[in-house]
Amino acid sequence: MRTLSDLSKEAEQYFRQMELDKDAAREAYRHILSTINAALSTQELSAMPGLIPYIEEGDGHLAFQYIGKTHRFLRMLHIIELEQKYHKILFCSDCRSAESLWEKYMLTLFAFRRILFRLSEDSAAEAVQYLQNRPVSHFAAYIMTQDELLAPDQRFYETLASIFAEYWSDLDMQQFFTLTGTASQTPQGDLL
Amino acid sequence: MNDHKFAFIICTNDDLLLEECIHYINHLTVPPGYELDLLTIADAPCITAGYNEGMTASDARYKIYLHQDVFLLNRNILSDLLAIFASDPRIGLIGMVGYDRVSPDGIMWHVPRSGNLYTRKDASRYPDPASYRFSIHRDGYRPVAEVDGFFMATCVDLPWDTDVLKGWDFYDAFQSIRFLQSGYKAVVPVQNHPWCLHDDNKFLNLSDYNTYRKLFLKIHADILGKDWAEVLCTQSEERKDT
Repeated sequence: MRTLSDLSKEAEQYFRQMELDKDAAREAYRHILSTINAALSTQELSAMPGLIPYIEEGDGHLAFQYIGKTHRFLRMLHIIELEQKYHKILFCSDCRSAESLWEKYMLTLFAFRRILFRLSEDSAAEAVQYLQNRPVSHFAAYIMTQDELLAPDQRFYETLASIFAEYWSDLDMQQFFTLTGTASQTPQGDLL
Repeated sequence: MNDHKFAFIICTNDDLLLEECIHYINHLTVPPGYELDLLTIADAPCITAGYNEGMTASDARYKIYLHQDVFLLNRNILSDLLAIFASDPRIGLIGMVGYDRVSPDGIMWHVPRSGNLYTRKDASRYPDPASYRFSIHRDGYRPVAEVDGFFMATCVDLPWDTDVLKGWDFYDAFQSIRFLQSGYKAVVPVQNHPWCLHDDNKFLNLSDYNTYRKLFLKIHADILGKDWAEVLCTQSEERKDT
């Protein structure tokens, strides 16, 4: 078990290292943003998944280590990589910049949470409408529900499946329930 | 001072987060006879200056200094805060997460934590926010030495230290100690289910955190490692001396 003294030493070491790394981390983050911006503005999207090894194993790991937003961008890249591989409409298909990609991701996450927390009928209905207007793949729904700060239950997964019933194929639906480890359900059409 | 008024005070640099934060505030139940104000400060040079601006601009007795990335899940939180403040006139500050004693290295999370936060790993299912009820008699609260800055509710106005704190870090530790050293208790309610979700991405962004940590260690060297009662007592004794 680590003592307070150990923790303090670790903290000192962390701050020393952060000071040494901060310029490189910022530069790596700038590179990630500029690569995403270039790919989205030209719709040359093949370059985007190349950022995954850069962040996970290359110089980009410093951005991952120190700049929180990098984690969500990495999640988006994994979503897009899966969508490219399985020929799905890409999460970024209606985005032309890293900023608009970020906004889409956050608004999708907020909509998920509004449905999960059911603050009011209007709040949930607005979220459903948003998701139906800007649907996402079952890969995006899976990765976001697994990695983001929300605790989904069976009912929530079924609600998502209902919302995206017209957008996801039967196979997508089946894969989504398999991935989430929940029993396959036929969407009932009751969104909330 | 309006004793029947709450004010949320939020320093913001992100419209997306702010709008969502406000969406949750708009779903809170306002106790009968009370008003609710919302002050957002978008161009603050530092958080202490922003909070001071909000504090002086509002006549609300109850002020809730909130991060833009906090989403309130307990819809009865305002009534619950009133019940806690009313239970002991020495309570001046309420947090959602707090720490029983001042960490010897200044880093809050290196000492035992009180309170609760929404996490995805919680195996138990969270109740529908509409059905959650806190009882001050059944659940109660715990006194702490410091509260985490993502949520700080106060019933007295103590100025935020703009002389020392000119950034966005460590203001919560300094302000908590200021409350205790002014004779007010800081407490954290026992939350059987978390009252809020803090979407902070769990990272210290590159910041001046360590600079202000060292300042805290220097300025508050006499209370490092002490628990809340010792900090409060120290001040009481100093008051008697003076």
